[in-house]
Amino acid sequence: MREGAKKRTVELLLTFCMVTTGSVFVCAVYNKIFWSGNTFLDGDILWQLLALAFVCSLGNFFHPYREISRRREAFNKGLHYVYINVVVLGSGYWFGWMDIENIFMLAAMVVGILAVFMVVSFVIWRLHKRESENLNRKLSEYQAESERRMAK
Amino acid sequence: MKITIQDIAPGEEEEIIVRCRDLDEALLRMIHELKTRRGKFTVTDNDKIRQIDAGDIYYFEAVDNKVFLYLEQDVYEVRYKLYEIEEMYANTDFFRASKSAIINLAKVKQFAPDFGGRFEAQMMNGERLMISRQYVTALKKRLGM
Repeated sequence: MREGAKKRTVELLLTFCMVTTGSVFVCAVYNKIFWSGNTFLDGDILWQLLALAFVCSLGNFFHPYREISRRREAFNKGLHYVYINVVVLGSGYWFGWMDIENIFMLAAMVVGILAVFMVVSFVIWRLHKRESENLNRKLSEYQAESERRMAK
Repeated sequence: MKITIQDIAPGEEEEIIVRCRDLDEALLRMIHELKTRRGKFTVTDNDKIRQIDAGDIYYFEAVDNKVFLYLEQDVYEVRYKLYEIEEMYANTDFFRASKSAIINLAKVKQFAPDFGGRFEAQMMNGERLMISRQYVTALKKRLGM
């Protein structure tokens, strides 16, 4: 498997796991607030959440592996966020998780999407930051070795 | 001049032995270049030819089909393509960081996370250059990760 495709697959799986966790959490809170006492939860919701997390994870492809400008990257990030909103709100309507005319349900869903999006973005940034710290450690070793070789 | 290359066992240190009668200036220069793994880069500066020690170069950048060489403060246009420079400086401190830049790893102060899974190389002269996602794997390999 090519290096790029391998990295993409790992990123997709990681995003899928994080989005699934976030969706379950939001679903639990949402259910407690809006559907408490009702028989909203059945077995299908689990499959629906998994499918939703997978389709949301596909949004990673808004960020191409090829080189693009910072401006284009920022635009793609915005597009990615819109895509997730469309997918989640569309699923909410399609699967009957929310009453489209209930503004509170709609608002709670939008807040839930924003929260999961921000948490996932933060975790990815933290992983990226850790990666850069490892790179800096290795860079120092590389430069020290280079200096040592020249001094010899 | 006879050149002999010998295979060595894994883990053994690479060594170059110079056998000569006299250490003349040309030989000393060659030894210096071998030791520093650098060469000279020739640029034209107002119709004057100038030789720049490769170790002083911070990075090369292609802008509008022209390639520029950046020192700590000065900038010179060079008549090579980036891929030619990449080949010339293969196995040295120079590293292809993006489609439009080759950076000198010896002049990188630190790497920082950038937007969209990319990294940013902060150079020792304060300039910042983007490291494209495509080249991050190669960078890790180069640094022994």
